[in-house]
Amino acid sequence: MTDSIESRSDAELLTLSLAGDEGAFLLLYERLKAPVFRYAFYMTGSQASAEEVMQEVFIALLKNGNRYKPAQGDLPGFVFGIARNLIRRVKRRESVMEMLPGEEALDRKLLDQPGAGDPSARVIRDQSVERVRAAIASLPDHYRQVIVLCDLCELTYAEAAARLQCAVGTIRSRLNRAHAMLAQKMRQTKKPRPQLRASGTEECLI
Amino acid sequence: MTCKEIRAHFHEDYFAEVKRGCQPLALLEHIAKCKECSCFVEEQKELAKGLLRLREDAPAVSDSLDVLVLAGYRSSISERSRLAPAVSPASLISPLRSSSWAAIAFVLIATAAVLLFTYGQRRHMDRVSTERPPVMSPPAAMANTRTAEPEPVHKKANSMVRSAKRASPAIPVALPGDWSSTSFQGLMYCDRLSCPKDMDVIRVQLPSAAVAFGPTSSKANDVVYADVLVGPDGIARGIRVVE
Repeated sequence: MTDSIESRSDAELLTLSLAGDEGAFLLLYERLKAPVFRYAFYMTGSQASAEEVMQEVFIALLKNGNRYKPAQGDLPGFVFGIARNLIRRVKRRESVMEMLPGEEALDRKLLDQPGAGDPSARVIRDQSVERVRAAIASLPDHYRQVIVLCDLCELTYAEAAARLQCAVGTIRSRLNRAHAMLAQKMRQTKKPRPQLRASGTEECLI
Repeated sequence: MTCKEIRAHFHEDYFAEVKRGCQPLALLEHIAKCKECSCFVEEQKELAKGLLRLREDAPAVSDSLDVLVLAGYRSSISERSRLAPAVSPASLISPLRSSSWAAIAFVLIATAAVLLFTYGQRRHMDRVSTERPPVMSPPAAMANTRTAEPEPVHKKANSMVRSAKRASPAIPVALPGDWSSTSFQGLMYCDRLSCPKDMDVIRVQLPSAAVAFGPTSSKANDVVYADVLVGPDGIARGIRVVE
């Protein structure tokens, strides 16, 4: 029985879930939760917001699952569409991209790895991650989408094109452009800050 | 390797250089000569490293979130099943239900038609039986008059028929062996062979003018009593004027 459920497609599992089959829902949730959560996490930059989006995504899937038509695309694409709309709503409400996200997750990750390296190396690593995170957060939405899907959620170009409902060529060009923009932003953050002249300060003090 | 080829190389597999840890010889030779490409490669490698670290830093889905999502699913299913009976009026119009309703309506209509037909037949029979003239009915003017006799005259024709069914209004009279020898006058041909069974005698009240064969009265409005001999087939066989 379990084997027969596991061999079913996502669309069939959704149909069974809507009919009240909890086992089918759990299997569908296991298949979708990791990519949806990572997508929500990278797009919102907050674990709390990502969890909220996750809950809302599956509630909306249960409410509007009857609208899904396999001819229009695969179920993950449908679910990512729901997640994308919910993320936009959350971002409008909380403006989460204004703050530096994911610090609690980063701290927990580091605490889980005792002796992972000396403190200075950890600080350098954290700074590097935060710079990348901030650079991604400052990108326009359609560039951030492809970076998150292709580079962070590890989807192929075709899968990303299906999720965003655009051509594969569009994904490639947007990703190339997004990499160039990220490199430029990181180059700007690496520039040394202008030093105050000691003599000038002393002169002012005198 | 040209500058364009180096950019295309990074475009095809962005994380390959970082994951491999070593670079192809042609690439190394080119970046040794081209400062711009050297900067480009370094930037892209640093960015790729940062993206990989960011990918590794993604938190896992917490167990509490799993529990919340499962609770949301259960509440959604229970709410849907609770709302399901509210949709039942629509299900009443389902083909199965509608066919059963049609069958019930057909049975009711058929029963009503049978009852109406039976009632109509009974009314028709009653009408036919009331329209049949009695065998020996007195005139209507005389029907209302009371007589001292036990069962003299019936008020209406149908009541006569009904009373004839209910109980025999006739007074059985032990007739002599040859009734024709008595004072009865035959109204139609009747002898022992044609009227083999016993007959009844009914006393009726008649206007004297109607009696042409009895003792006539001086007044036209007077009434006379007569005994009528009725056979088993209900046909009057003879009459005898009493007074």
